[in-house]
Amino acid sequence: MVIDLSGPNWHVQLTVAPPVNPDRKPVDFDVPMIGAGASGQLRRIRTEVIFTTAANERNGWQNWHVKIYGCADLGDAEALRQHLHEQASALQRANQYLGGHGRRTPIEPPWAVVPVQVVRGDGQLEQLSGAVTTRLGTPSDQIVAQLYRRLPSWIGEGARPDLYLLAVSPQIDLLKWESLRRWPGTEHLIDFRQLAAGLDQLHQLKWAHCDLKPDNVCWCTYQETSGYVLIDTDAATQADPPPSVLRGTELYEYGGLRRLRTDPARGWHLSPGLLYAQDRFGLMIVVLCALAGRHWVENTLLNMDPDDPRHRVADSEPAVQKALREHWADPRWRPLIAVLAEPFGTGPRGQIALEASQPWAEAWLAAVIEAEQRCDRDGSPQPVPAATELLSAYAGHIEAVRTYAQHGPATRPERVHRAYDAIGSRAQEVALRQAVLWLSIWCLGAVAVAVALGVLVGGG
Amino acid sequence: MTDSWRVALRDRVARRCGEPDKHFARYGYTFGNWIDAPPGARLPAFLEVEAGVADYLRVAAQTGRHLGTVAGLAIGGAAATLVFLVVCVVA
Repeated sequence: MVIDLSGPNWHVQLTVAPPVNPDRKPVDFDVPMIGAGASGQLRRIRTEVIFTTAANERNGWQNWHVKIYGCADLGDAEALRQHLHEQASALQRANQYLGGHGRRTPIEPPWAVVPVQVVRGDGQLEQLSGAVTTRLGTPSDQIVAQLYRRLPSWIGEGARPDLYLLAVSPQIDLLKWESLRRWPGTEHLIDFRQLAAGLDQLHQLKWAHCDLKPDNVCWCTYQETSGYVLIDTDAATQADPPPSVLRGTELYEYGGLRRLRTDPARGWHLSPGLLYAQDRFGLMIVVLCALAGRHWVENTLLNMDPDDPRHRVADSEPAVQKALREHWADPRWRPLIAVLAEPFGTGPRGQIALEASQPWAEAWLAAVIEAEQRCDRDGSPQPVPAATELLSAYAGHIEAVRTYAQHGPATRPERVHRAYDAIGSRAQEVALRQAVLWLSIWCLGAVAVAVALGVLVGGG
Repeated sequence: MTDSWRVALRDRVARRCGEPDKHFARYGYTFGNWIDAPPGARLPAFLEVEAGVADYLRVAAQTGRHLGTVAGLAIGGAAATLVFLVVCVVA
């Protein structure tokens, strides 16, 4: 089975491999009914999904992830196709906002959310809305997707091609989060900017990801770009008008949604603001996983508050502030802790800002970065001019540390840890060299003096 | 003997300088930016990180110098006494 993705001046040909695991996973979608307009009427679609991979035979992103959705009837297939199509379109528009510098095609980074392309099982052309069919004068973001050859036998004997839809997306390695960080891992902060900007843009397009959690954030390196990227857009939905049901992960659920779910008196009425807040809460959780460690986030922040066991720590600003202060005891981190804890509150910088329709993520991340800069660096930072002599004395070592850290492919946190290792071994090397030098000086000096004294005393 | 001396030196350096991850956490994301910066990037924030690395290495060198001096005085003193006696006898 070969999938052809093409646009102006680019072409990707994906050869789909048989699945390693033949099991099919049932996945339900609640998608707007065709022709229902803004009435918000939803249609529940039950699909069986086969997960597999594909290899690109042309230039561009090498490994791809393929989901093959099997629908029950033609109506379901068409409704799902329209839903996935709109979803793919929203994701592409959010990524497009991240700027074209270095990006040659829409299927190349930078991305905030990994792009998904829908492919029809019956071999008919699928292209993004707004794109014209002719090759002349097509918009630069156009993607035309087509399945060549018949469905393979491993999909099922006698499978009707028109009941199958494929969703293909670039495959990215999962991230291994650090378990605990006793000092804030602020070296990660800057790498979240792209994701935050893309999330804001997705919300401006009135879409929400709805399942932003550590498992769905990966590290993407491609040519000269790198950064955190969101994957798994199965739960992504239009936020305005909001859906009546929401797919997500309970552990990472925003407090407002938890209250809505657990309080039958309030009734289950989703609002666009709650969906945006769910994404923003997810972003805060992911940033804190990078800063404080995933174990701390899942076992402290998302756990019940020991001072008020009815609520999670993450549902109260003072509780988050207290937990972070216990985790990072050094008072120098107070400004950073204050800004990190603010959105967990209910005030204008908390719940109100989180549920607002205005962009939030990029500004919040900028405030965190700014707060990190305000953290006292030792109380008495060393004036740079005075250190010039010292810098030139160790210039070779310093450059060697950087060269070692930059060598080979690695994520930024890995490079930082490599630098720590290199500094440690350089320090040992410098210390050993000095120790041997001064040992030799004292030994030779003492022996020379002894010889001289011996000659004087013995000769006299 | 050499191994135990190396271990003693390593422990002293670790004690005096501190663990690098803890020591350099103060620079936050600037540390990562410094690693990724092209050679010759002379931003004040990067100079501050480089000054921190140089200072860390200076403390390590000081520790090595101190241990070398102590060991040199002990070994050199013993060797000097022996040499002095031999020279006196021979002369």
